[in-house]
Amino acid sequence: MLSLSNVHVSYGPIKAVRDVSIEVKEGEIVALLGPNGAGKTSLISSVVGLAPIASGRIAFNGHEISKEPTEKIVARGLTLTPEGRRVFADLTVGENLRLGAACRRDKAGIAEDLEKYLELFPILRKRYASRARMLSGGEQQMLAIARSLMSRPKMLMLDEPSLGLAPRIVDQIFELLSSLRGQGLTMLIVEQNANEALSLANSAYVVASGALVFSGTASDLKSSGEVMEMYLGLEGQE
Amino acid sequence: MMSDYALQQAFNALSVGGEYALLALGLAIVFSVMHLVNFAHGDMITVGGYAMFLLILFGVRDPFLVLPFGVLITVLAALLIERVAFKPVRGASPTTGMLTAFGVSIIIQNVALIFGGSRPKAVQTADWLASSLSIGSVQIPVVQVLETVVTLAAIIGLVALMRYTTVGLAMRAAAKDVPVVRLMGVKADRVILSAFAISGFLAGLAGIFILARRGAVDPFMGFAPVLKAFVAAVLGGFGSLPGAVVGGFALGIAEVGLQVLLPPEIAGFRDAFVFLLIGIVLVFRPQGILGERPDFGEKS
Ligand SMILES: Nc1ncnc2c1ncn2[C@@H]1O[C@H](COP(=O)(O)OP(=O)(O)OP(=O)(O)O)[C@@H](O)[C@H]1O
Ligand SMILES: [Mg+2]
Repeated sequence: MLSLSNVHVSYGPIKAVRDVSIEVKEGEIVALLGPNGAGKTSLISSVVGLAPIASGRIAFNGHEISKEPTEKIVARGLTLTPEGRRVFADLTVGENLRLGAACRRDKAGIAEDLEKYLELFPILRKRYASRARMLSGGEQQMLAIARSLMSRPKMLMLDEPSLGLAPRIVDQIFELLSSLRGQGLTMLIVEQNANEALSLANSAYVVASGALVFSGTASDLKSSGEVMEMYLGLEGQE
Repeated sequence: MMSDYALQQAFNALSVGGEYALLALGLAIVFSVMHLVNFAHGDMITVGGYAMFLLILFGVRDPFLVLPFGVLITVLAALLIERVAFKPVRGASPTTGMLTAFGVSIIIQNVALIFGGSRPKAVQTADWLASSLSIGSVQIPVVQVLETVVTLAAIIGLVALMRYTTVGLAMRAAAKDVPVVRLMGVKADRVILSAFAISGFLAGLAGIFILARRGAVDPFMGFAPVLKAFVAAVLGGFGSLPGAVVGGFALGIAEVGLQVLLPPEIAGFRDAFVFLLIGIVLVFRPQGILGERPDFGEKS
């Protein structure tokens, strides 16, 4: 569904991502892991046209998208829930959700989805008319995810959805992602929280200092003690 | 009669404040989405004014054609300026944007100067605009009543647009985070053009009233309006739309109020007193009446 070939991302002289290739198949959950500053955010931002691609190709459902503007990529059904949530703080919860559907024209479908996500996230219904800045971090993350879903994506990328959240909330978020998988949504999840992400993922990639250092199935990674220890600061399973 | 006089002056203050509010809103809406202080804002009024002058010259006198034509041309001028001048420097530093705006302003003034000369040219907007309404014993100029009403209608319309339409939501969101607005599938271009169109529309409305008062166009007629808009926007809190409205009315009320209250010997220094008052407000609220403090904490 999504395929990155030899992607390089540079900010002027700073090379943030070097020669990374990634494959995400339809219906799959792929985890993209790595230490701070590894280039994870740069990589998935480049996929939606929000970080500068120096070279490489990115194909989504067979279309070359590496030179397309963000809004066109989103209209194709690929979106990103950005790092740090970035909800529109001065807009209400409801306005954030409506804006999430900005690329759609099917009024009835939008209303249906809105109802669906208010059902799925009761807290958003309760806070519907509050400004997003009034929400807690966990609630804002739910809002950011729901806002992304309002565009009815075929594939969703999430940049550290558990960042800065209490363990109980992190569990809720991952339960939610698992239920979204059940609905057939393809996902690419960037996480520092490697264990949680791997419990969900089919396959996994690890980047460090901008380069790929591991790719394989999630269970391969879990049993690869060396990678787990060296790059993710975790004990392997062997 | 004192109370008649007070009522007249109150209407005067409201209409002047309304005009400043329209101007400041136009400046603020562009600033909020693209952090550009458009000093050519006043010159769009000049363009609209000359368009009306030309239309009348060609024999069209019906104000119901001339006035909307002026507004339309002001909107088109705003869109054209965005395309030709500001789009190429999008993403450059705010200083670049500001210098570009000055450049646009100078070009418009000089084009008007070359083709129209420096002498004001009479523009008869509409007789009824220059007449007065009698309410009891009070005479209120029609232009003031209309200006107040039109300002309020424009503000209500703008609030509705910003709340209920997708592009309005996107403009509010873009004030803080353009990349994420694009992630919602909204073209940045569409947001920016909408902001310029609205800004031009508000300038066009204000332009009609400015023209009705002065009765003539000249190449530099845009200077005073943009200055007032700038002062009103700073007073209200730069970039804040409610701030622009509050700042506009506050400035209008302060000007008219001081005109009335100052003893005749020093009434000539009215503007100095106005700026003194604004200075005092800004000492206590550097961010303006409704402005937000710059946020140095959270980056996202
Ligand atoms: N806009 C930018 N301009 C310049 N350099 C940047 C920019 N964004 C990121 N970088 C640099 O690129 C490198 C990779 O950063 P990136 O944010 O992609 O890493 P990350 O893996 O997402 O890190 P984290 O886990 O902390 O979120 C870092 O060295 C960072 O300083
Ligand atoms: Mg990151």
